[in-house]
This record gives sequence, structure tokens and C-alpha cells, in this order.
Amino acid sequence: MSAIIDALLSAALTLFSWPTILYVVIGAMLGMLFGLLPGLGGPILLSLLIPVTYGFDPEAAIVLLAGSLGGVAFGGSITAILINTPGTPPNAATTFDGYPLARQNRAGEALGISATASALGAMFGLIVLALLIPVAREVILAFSPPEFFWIAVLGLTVIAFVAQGSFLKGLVSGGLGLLISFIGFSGVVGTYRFGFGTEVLWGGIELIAALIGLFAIAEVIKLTVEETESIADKEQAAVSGGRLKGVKTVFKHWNVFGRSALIGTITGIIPGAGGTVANFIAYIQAAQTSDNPEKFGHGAVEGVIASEASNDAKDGGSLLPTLVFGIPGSATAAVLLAGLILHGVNPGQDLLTSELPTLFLLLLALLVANLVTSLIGVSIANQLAKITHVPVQLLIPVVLTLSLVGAYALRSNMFDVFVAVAFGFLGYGMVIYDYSRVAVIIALVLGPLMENSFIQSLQMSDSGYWIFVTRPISFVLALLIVLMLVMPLVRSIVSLNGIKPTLRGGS
Amino acid sequence: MGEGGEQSEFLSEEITFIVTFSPGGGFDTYARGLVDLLPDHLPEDVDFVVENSTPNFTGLMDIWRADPDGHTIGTTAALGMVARQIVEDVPYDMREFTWLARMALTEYMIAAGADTGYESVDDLREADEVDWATPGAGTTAWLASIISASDLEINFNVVNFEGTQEAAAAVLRGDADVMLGPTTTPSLTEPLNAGDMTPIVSFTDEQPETVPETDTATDIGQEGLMNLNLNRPVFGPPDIPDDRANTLSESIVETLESDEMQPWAEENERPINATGRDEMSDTISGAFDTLSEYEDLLNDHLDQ
Repeated sequence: MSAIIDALLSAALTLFSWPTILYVVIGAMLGMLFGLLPGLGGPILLSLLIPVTYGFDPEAAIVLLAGSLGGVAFGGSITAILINTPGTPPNAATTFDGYPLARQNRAGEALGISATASALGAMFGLIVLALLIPVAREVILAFSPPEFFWIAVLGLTVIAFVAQGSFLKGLVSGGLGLLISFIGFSGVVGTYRFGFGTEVLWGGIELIAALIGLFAIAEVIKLTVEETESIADKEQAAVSGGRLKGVKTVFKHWNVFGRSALIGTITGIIPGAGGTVANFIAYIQAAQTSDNPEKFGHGAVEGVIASEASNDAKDGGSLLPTLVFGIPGSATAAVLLAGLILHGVNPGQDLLTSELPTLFLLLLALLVANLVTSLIGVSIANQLAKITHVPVQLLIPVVLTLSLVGAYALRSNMFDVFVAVAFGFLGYGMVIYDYSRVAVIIALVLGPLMENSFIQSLQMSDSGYWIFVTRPISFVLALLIVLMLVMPLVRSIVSLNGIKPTLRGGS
Repeated sequence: MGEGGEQSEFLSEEITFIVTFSPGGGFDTYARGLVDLLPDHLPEDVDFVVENSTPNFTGLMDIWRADPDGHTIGTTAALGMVARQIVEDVPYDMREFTWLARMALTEYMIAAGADTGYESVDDLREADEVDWATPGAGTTAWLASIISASDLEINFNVVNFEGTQEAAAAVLRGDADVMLGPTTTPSLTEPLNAGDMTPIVSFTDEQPETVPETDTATDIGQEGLMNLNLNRPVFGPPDIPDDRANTLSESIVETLESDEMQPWAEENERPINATGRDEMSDTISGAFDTLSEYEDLLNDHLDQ
């Protein structure tokens, strides 16, 4: 125990020495900037920073890289809330309720929620990471393709909750999302599907390009058609409290925050699941466990909490397999690992024993960077919120430019720009005819995970379907899905039985 | 003067270096390391822009269609694209690209999960069936996996994942028995050093520094496995004029062999094995000869 405390103190002394702390702050600011701009994000920033750190001391390099990683997720939430365009893929679910809040003149509050949930989420993820180190191996190895399959199916069941209005329209939206998610070459299946023999669909439909279209560009069309003056009504007084109300909101919904941060951390631990999946699963559980699921998609504060708590908590989780096995839990963790190895930090048992101060230095830098960006976020939230009062004639060109450049920057591929525009019109049509855009996105995110893990499970079992129910965790997940689908039916039967005697009594 | 003038004009412009994989991976790291130093070895000031054009096929087609003026070059995993050309009707011809140089040759190895009890190629041969994790159908490691398993007469069942990290995680979980990957990737070397995986054979002549306790291809009399290792080439679209191609090729090789490049290679644990135009072109021709022999095997596994 004293070794851990010594290591922690040693790391803290190094971190808060000059100029090391400056590197954390610089990294955090860069992370925020790269998170803010759609199409950039963590892997690109770290790839650009690694060569810059060649001549650095290992400590300075580690804190700069970790600091930049810490700033990305919150940065991405700013554009998600203000202009309906997620800065990075793991901010996708933030648009669902963040932007409606902005339209209700509550952008400051939404940014306050995002900043607080991000900082606390990161803290949660890192604390869980530190606690899990002794049992890291068992946790990482517990989830295999059959479990991933059921997690994806579990996620898809939420379409029933988010599809307000017609259930059938919800299913149509979800089905459309699934179909689109299967387009392109699959390395797991080994074939090219639904590409009509074209080259451009080889890589499939890029999730963020679709998201930019469905939400940001659809919104631009809607604002134009409706001849709206600004995103939020300037004449209507801003909802009182703003950013500070947002900070308090996170504490008020501590249970949503806790569950979401835990989901983010666990999903981060599983190699291959990724931040975007963590983000959606957390959002889905928030909707499923809410007393007012119909509020989701229309400005539910719990939606922003779930999304932002999970995408920051997942960084801690994804570091666990990275540091213990050298197997990154996310794309960003993969690039970070390359940078760490360059500076002599090798994953494995030494990092958890003799190199513990280095590990704590990394974790503290990540934590401080999150706190710095969130503090900046809370400080300027009310000023940033004024963007929602800018006349749409000025805002639309900026949003369109950011959207289209962001779509192109994803893969340097012009086709993604056309995808964004096409999905813009699709999204606008869905708004007009009351189809759920969220259901499309959920299916787009979870479709590949469901398909890949289904095929992998069959490849593992020589095409035997029992693999899906004969493993303990799989069995529990399958049971959970059955319960979730049956419970509303049971509830409605019970309530019907309860009502009938009253009616009879009344008559 | 005419040629010199044209060369000067060519070299005064920006050159796009297309990487057909995402930022941060092996190909991207080599590309960025090279273009940082390459301008110092060209006769004129040239700016390089690294563009990650993914997926692999899309990036390759971007290079295929670029103007053959030397302003667009790039890198990809060539062997996988050669294999695809052999088994499918594709809109490119790998033999027609202008091959400029090779940055590195990344050597592969086969490793087994420690709990499987497999310690040698003979153990794998004697097993009823070996579950083999690959980083995805069509990748060079997938190709090397099915060809080496076939050559080594191992009865194998392919389980495809997305990337080397996921394949390694599958072996550690026990979802698959063995995998094939670069001898330099931490996803493989760390579990090997920790005793969570057992080295089976490296596709090398001598034991690699990162995995010293392993049989080599030479030890087991299977030198042909070394033909499956991962080349990291630099190339441009078909028909780049010889003068421009030579200028680029010579500058790239000079950069890769320079004193500045060696510290970079050591710091990044990215060994350099540079070759020039002719050697790289011969490698591609040789790949067609080698892989054509496995056409039926490739077809079987891509149709699964």
C-alpha cells in the first residue's frame, strides 16, 4: 500500500512541477480544439503530436499526450450541443438531447452538464481503472463475441423506447439503419455486400458522415425552410441558472451519471467495442430506465449526462487492456500506446509494479486535462451559448462549411460529403414524416457489432447456435433481453387487470 | 536544360503522400517518419502532405487514378491487393503501378495461446483442428495465415476479427488457439514476453530481437514462409516518367538509409529495410507468381 502512495506522490510532484504542468494544459487545449472540429479527434491529434515529442523528456511527452487525450471528448460535445454536429464519434448521442436543449435557450445549461459529466466521468473511469488493476485480466477476458452479440441486441431493443409515436415507424427507421450498416466490405464475413458493384461503397457508409447529414444538415434545411431567425429565440429569456444549473443537474441525476460512467468504463475495457458504442449503450440505458422516456430526443438532461459521462469514462477503461496487455481498447488508445512505447513506457507487468509512478503520472495528467477543459467549458459556457442567438443567415454557412469539411476530413473522401448531403435530405424527410432519426443512428452503430460478433461466434463454434446461450454471461444477457421485451406486456396486462375492477366498481 | 527545368518545376510543388490506412498505424507511422526527412534529400524544396485515404481499396484507387506526374505517391499493403487481383475482377493492376521503393519489410510470426499447450508447428499439425484468429479477410496477415497454415499442413478453422489487437485479444480469451502477426507489434510481443502466448515460428532466417526464443522458418525448413512477410512500399500511379520516378526513388532510398533516419527507426521500433525501384517491382512480380499457386485456397476462404 505504501508503495502505491509513494508512487502516487511521486507522480503528483512530477506533474505539478514546472514546466510539466504547462504541457498538460497545452495538451488539454489542443485536445479541446481537435475535439471541437468535426472530422478531427483524438487519433489524428495524437498522430500529429507524437513526432513533436521526439526530443522531449519522457515525462513531458507522456503528460502532453495524455493531456491532449483528456481534452478531446468535452471539446466534441460543444459542437454537438450548439450546432447539432458531433465533434468526434463518441459525442454522437450528445446531439440527441444537447441540441434540443440549445433550441430551448438552454445551451449554457447543456454545456454545464457536459463539462461536469465529462470531468466526473473521466474521474470515475480512472478511479475504476486504478481499482481494477488487480483483477484486470479477468475483466478484460470475460467478454467474447457471443456476449458482444447480445450487448448489441440489447442496445437495439431501445428503439422501442426512442421511437416516439408510431412503433412501426420506429421499426422502419431501425431496419433502415441496420440495412445501411451492412453496406461495404466486411473483413469478418470476407465479402463485399450491397455496393451495387461500385467502388465508392466499398468502405461502407461512414457513421459520422451519416450523422452529420441526419442531424446538422437536416437542421440547416429545417431552419431555412422554417425561416427561423436564430437557433434559440433571442426574445425569450434564457432559462435561469445556465451553466451552474447544468453543474447541479449532474449531481441531481447522480444515478444516471453513475450507471453511464460504469457502462463507459466497462465498454472501454472491452477491446474492439469502442467509444461510440459506449456512448450509445449509456444513452440507451438512460432512456430505458427513465420514468419519462418520451422526453429523450427532445431535450432530456439525462441524455446529455449519459452520453458525456460514458465517453469520458471509457478513456480510463480503454487504458486497462492497453497498459496490461498492450492491446488498445480504442483507436485513440492504439495511437497513445505507440507514443508511450516511443518514450520507453512499455505495457505489461512492470508498469503495474516497478513503473507505477509512470502509470500514475499518465492517469493524473489525463485527470487534470479533463478538469482543465471542463473548467474552461463551465467558465465560457454562457458566452458559447450566445452562438444560438446568432442570426441563422450567418450561422448556416458556418455550420454547412463545418459539416461538409468535417465529412471530407473523416477519410479524405469526397463520397462522404455526398453521403452527408444525402442523409441531410433523408433526415429532413424523417423530421417531416415523424420517423425516428435516433433509431437509424442506433442501428448504424450497433449493426456492425451485432453482425460481426454473430459471424465470429459461429466461426468459433463450427456454426453451432448453442454458443449464444451456453456461456454464463451470454445466458444472463439473453435472459435480460427476453425480460425487457416481455415486461412491458406484463405491465400492461397487470394494469389492465387493475383498471377493470375499478371500472366495474364505478359502474 | 529541358529535363533539368522540368525536374525543377516538378520538385517545387506540393506532393501528396496517400496512406491507405488510418492515422497512427504502422503504415502511417512509416509514411510520416519518411516525409519529415525526405524534403532534405530532394534537389528542391518540396512540401509533403500526408493524406489518410481509407479503406485500403479506396486509397489504392485514389493513387491508381492520380495524374502520373509524381505529385501523388503513397503506400499500401501490396500483397493483399495482389491476392484480390488474382481472385477477383478488380479495376486496378498492381503490375502497372510505378513502384518507387520499399520502406520496410515487417516480418511475421505465429503464436499460440499459452493455455492451448501448443509449442511447435508439429503440435499444430497433430491437432484435430486449430482455431486461427486473423485480423480480417483480405488483409496481408489473413493471407499469410491461410497460406502458411496450408503449407504447414495444419487443419485450421479461420475466425476473422477486425485488426491485430482484436485477434490477439481473442487468443488471450481462448476464443481462438493461434494467430499470426508482426514480430514487432506490442499486441503480440507483450503477451509473448508475459508468458500469455507461446511463440511457434517466426518467418525469418534468424531469431527476431523481440522474440528471441522461437523457431525460425529456416529452422523448420520452410524458407518459403518468408515470402509472406509484409512489404511496406512507396509507389505512384502507372506511367510516372522515368526521370521523375528516379528522382523520387533515389531520394526516398537515400532518406531511408540516412543517419537521421536510423535514430527515428530505433526510437519508434520501426526497422528500415530500404530497397529501390527494380527490387520493389520484382517483389510485386514475384508475389503474383507465388500467390497464383494458391488461387483455389484464396477463393475457398473468401467465399466462406
